[in-house]
Amino acid sequence: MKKKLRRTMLFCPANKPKHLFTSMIYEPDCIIFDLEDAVPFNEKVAARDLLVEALKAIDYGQVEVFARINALYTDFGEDDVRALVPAGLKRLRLPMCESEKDVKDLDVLLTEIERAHNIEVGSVKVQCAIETPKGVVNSLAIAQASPRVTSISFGAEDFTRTLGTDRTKAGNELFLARSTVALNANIAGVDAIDTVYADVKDEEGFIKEVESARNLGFSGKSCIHPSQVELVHKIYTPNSKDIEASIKIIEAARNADIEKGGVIVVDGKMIDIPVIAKAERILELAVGAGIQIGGVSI
Amino acid sequence: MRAMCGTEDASDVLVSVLLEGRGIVVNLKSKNKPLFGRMIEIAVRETCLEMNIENAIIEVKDFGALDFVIKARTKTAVRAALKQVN
Repeated sequence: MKKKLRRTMLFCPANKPKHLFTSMIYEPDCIIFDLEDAVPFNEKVAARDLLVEALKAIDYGQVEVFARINALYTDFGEDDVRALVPAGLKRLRLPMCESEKDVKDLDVLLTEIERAHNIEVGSVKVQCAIETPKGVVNSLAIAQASPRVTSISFGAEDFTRTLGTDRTKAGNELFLARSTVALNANIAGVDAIDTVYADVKDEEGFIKEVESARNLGFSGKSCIHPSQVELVHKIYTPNSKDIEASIKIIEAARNADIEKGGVIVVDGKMIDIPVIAKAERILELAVGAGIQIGGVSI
Repeated sequence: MRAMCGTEDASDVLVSVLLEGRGIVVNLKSKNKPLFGRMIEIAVRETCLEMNIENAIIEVKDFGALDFVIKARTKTAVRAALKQVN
């Protein structure tokens, strides 16, 4: 089965008309139209109206479209949801998510809107943004709070602000939080999306951070500039050597009938269930990146 | 008092609405008027119809906006005008 990849989530302010119809040309896996921090207070309603009309008019193709709504405790959050869902939005990002209750409150609101507009109940999915120490500690409960949650994301800027510290390039102050979010996402079976990297001119630093996030277990990265999209995709796309090795492992495992247990040796290396699972993940990423895999169905 | 929405940026439109007069009057300024003037006016009028607005004087300064942008800006401006009246 082909899993939907969320390697890149490109942020676009929803108050700029041009972004609403040009952002998909950079081919991110996901676009997040932002109604929250990127939109000035006096443009909140106009930005929401723009996004509603864009959703009704534009075919975004294979790109998964999210809206980052305003927090539900603000004057705008609930109205964002009430306007966007009937317009066709299927994915939304809940900012400043700190507890299971935050998710359940949104779940109740979404269910009410879906019922009122004859939309399949549960079809609108949610990404919960973990942006505070409390959110990090509760991230497992948040990720498991509703079947609507398909991913949790980590937001370093608000996290360091709340913690009363500064964000550094080394990122030591984020290590525990990022690891916790990635681990808890894995336990809950949802995607983990890493925080943005604000210095768009520092390509080297960005690449290091994406590699580090991938190694921690993040499924993807939030991007704030189109130039970051291709860099992330390259890092998350397996090379031909890894793909060939993975095909060999899966074929050998199937031939030896050890996919549900047992051990064999391929090229002098022990192959068991975790190794097979890793090989499947590599092929999944390769297929998601558009690489043709011959002979092995995944 | 007029209610306004939009900007003069490329791909945007500036819409100002005055809920007065009889019927919907659309005054359009656009470099694209010969080509798209009729379409722009239809988008504005359709939005008024959807919002049950029967009387309004609407100034539209277009800077190459797509249909969905014209509708959104009109909707926001009309809503702001209604708020002023109420």
